[in-house]
Amino acid sequence: MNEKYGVHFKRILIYIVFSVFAVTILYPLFWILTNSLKTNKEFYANTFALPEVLNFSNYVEAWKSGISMYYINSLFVTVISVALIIVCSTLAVYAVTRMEFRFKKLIFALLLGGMFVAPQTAVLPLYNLLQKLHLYNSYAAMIFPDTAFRLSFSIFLLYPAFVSVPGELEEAAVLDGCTRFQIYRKLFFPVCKPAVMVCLLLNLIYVWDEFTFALNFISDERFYTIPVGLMSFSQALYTNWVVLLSGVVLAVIPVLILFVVFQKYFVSGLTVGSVKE
Amino acid sequence: MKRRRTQAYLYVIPALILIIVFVYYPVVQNVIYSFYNMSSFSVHKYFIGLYNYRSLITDPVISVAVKNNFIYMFWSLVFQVGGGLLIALFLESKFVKKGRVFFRTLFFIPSVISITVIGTLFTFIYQPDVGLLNSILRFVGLDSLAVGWLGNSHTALYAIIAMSQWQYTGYAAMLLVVAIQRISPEILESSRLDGCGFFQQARYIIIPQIRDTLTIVVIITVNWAMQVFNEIQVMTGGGPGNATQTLGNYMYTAAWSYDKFGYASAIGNLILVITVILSAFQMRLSGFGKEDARK
Repeated sequence: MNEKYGVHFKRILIYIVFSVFAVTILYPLFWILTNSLKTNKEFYANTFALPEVLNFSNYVEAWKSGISMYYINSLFVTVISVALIIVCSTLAVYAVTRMEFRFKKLIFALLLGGMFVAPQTAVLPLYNLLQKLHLYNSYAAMIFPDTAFRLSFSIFLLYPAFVSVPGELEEAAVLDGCTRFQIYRKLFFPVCKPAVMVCLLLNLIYVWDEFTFALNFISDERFYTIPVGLMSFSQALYTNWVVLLSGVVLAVIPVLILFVVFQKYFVSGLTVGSVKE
Repeated sequence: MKRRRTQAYLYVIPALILIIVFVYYPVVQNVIYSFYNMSSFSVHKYFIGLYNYRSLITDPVISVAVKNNFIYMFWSLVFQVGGGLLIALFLESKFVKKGRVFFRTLFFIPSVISITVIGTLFTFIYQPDVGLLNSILRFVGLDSLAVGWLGNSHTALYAIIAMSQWQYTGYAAMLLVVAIQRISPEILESSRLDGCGFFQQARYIIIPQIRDTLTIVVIITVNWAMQVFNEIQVMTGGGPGNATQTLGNYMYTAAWSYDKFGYASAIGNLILVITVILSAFQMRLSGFGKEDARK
């Protein structure tokens, strides 16, 4: 009986902690949303009040004043970079965990070592390198550095999943006459899907939000992605809060939708992770 | 057999080339730059040996920045690793039944939002007159605590640190939840039957099992704190004065505002040395990669 009360008490305590944390996340987001639907007059009068009429024209104005362009740029840079990251890192991690070759240890160390390099350390030489390659101020100026800087971490993240695939599965596939590449694509990719999905999700978010490289390597607004674009947007509209907040909502929505959709996949994929033991 | 060997190189080469060209080559270049007096606008550069490094030691802003980086790291470890672990353990414990996925998803959400959005939001939260934080403080009668959070040199750094914890604690928790879910249910069940309490189970069963992921989380947190730049750039640009200056932000300032490319490179190398040492130390300490033996 006593123990049961203890469990109840702990449960309530945990739910209180969780709820407080939840409110600190939800309320600011709610605040942005409600204020983005007000007029500036309402906004300055009382930021806590709800809007009297839902004022969607702010959104139209925000979309027209640049957000639409930043969207397309972000989408392009993210899709290409993440595709490159997933292909390169899974290929590399497959070779490192499943093949024997000369200088393997050194190559593995080089592949992982990039993880310790802070992007800041590379920003200035990259700026010069990209200019020499005539890539400065282009999509490639974001795609290549973004990809290269995420590879080491991705390999690190995928390593445990790839290393724990049972050898028998692989041998069976070899007996069935599968080539190496088929084993990688048809066996390892599906079996390690949960890990690959986590890797995909984390990189998707990372590249979508990437700020440092975009800030340093892009000078032309035509190539601005959302994070940098929003900064110039907020400088241009610093008194027009309601339009700025509409832009903020528009910038957040795709990531949130993407995340919620992925989350479902993510969670169901996790049960497949029992491959490990 | 020989063909197989050559084939292996084809698998590693795309990743290897990208990392060498866009990560290692710049790092080496950065070391070279740091021995020169150079500018971003001119091709002329003058070899000045270790002069930039001597300036690092005597520059008072550097010691402020290093101190700020370590303060940032300390609180990030407390909240993101400590707090994140606790949240993950709670989420996966028997105490939480309903709303597990809801809370987990919600806690993760701030980390998917870009720093400029978060920055815009928190600039308003910290706004002295009509900001959310001061409005709440005044509402509960704590008027004396209502200050201009980002304009005050005593509070600005902590205001930014708090924002980061708000943003990333759920991210750390999510990574750890994924790891905990990979532990086989039988191990957890049998330890429960053996009478393990919540903390005992966490300490002796769960934490050892998720050691690799815990290492990843610590490395991410430490590296993030040592190279923090975006948060500072978006919120204060290093001010007021140099109160929120960090190495990453000071490097940016030195390169683009003072046009001291060589000196900025020296700062970059300092960041590199600190992050490499801390990460390597952490990797060794946790024995990452021991799974290799299982093969």
